[in-house]
Amino acid sequence: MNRADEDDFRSFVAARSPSLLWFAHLLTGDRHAAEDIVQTALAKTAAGWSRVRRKENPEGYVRRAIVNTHLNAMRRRPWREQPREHIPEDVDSRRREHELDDRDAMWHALAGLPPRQRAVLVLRYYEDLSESDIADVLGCSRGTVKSQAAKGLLHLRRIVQKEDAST
Amino acid sequence: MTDVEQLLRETLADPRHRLDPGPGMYDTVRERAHQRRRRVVQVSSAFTAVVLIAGVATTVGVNSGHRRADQVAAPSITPSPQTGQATSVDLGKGSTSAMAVTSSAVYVARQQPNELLQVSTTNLSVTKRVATPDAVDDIAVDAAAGRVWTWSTTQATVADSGQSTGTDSTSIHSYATSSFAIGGAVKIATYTFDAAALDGQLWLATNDGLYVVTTAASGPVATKVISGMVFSVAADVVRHRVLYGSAVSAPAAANSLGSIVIHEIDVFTHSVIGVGTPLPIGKESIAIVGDQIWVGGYGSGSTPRLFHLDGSSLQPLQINGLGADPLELGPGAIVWPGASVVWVRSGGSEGLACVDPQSGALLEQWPAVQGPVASVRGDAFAASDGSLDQLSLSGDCTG
Repeated sequence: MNRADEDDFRSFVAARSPSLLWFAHLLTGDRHAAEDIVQTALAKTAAGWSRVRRKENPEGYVRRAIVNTHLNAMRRRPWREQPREHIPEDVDSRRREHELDDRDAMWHALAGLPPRQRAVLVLRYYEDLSESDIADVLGCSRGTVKSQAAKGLLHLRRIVQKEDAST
Repeated sequence: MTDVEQLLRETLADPRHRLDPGPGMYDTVRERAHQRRRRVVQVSSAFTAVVLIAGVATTVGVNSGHRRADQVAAPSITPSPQTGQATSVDLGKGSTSAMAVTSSAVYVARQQPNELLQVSTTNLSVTKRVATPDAVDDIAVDAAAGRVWTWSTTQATVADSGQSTGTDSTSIHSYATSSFAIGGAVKIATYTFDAAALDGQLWLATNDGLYVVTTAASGPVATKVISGMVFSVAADVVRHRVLYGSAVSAPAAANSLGSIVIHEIDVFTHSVIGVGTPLPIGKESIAIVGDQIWVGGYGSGSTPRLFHLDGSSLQPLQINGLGADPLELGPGAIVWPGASVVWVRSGGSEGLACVDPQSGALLEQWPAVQGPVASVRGDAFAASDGSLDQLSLSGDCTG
């Protein structure tokens, strides 16, 4: 990597790391796994940064690397389940408590989804990607994206309906 | 009626899920990029050398057909560390959830159906099989006491229904290794993270403290020895002690997970007889190999993940030391003891390594194996993705 690429890569990491970590956290549900896959994806990207930086959307390229790194890692599922991460307590007191309860329940429900279903929903509802773009990122057909999204949403809907019924 | 898609959007956009990168983010990425490049160069060099040697051997064979192949002077091309192979052991229907190994057998817990198997290390055939009352989470074998311990846990957490469920609990069973007859069962109302068998006792690290299960005439009895959450425990067969880790509030470094301290307990008196210094890790695991102690855990940013402790003082001898060719540990390190090596696995997306417990030298690695790993001299096994894998061992990694 030449000096110009190095400077550009450093700037990219400094500027986009928070956003990439947030994205990775949504995919993994675990802050340490998120840090690991972002670091891994950036390290993979660093070698070809002179090429990547000339792409129309370098960040999109890195996000794709993050998704693939995560899904590859999940194929080799870590042995010891770690205690589920607690959501930080720095909540805005003006929010209604039940809204937070709903979101917390949704966050926990997401944890119950298979990694690929979760990735489809994050790409669809956080990244706002189209079905064909998601298929491109995941290397699968549009039909698979549709079915994975439908299954994931059905799972989440069942949980939310049970929550509604119990309150 | 809740709009699920809207709630999903709000949840994903909830700023509470935002993470801030540590100050060393760029340096960590650059270091990992350098490590990746070194590995690629190593593999390429090894491949080139193999091709060159094959070419030389072929040429010599063609030009002087009477010369023996072993007369060709071949340079050493062994990459360091060697990459090992893993071969899946066919155990039939079901998936492997846990295993433990002795010099003659591998004890394997299987689910769907729930079974405990004894597998010969000689020919990998199933020599004993018994149905277990529940799905076993983990196993510990106490060869000296002739006992296999199994435990199954339930956790008070959000279940598939989306609602918080029940209470934490752990069901523990013991089996005689000779007959596989159940020696008894006991249940404790706490979630177990880790356990270790030693001198006829089972020690459990739980979210409610350190428990010890002993065997009375009426069956196993569980007693709480230490209060507070205990995440790890390890047995020291040489010194007849157990080591456990407990979190301390005083941060020893810029690690968001805080710090832990290793404690030493006498297995006969159940009293604490030694305490180490704070280590800046969380979610730790402990491996004792002979008189060498290794502790792995999770850190943040550039904080250390792996510690080699002195067996007597519990003070660090090496920090993150894995010789000249460090393993990429990612967010953390998980360790398991072998008979004469320590097994280290990245806590993230990278692989498994066999490490010399004295020098910290990396002896062999398996990029695609996750563990857990158990080994005796000459035999090593890993339970990965529901299968039982036998690991090939090189000359340096003895198991």
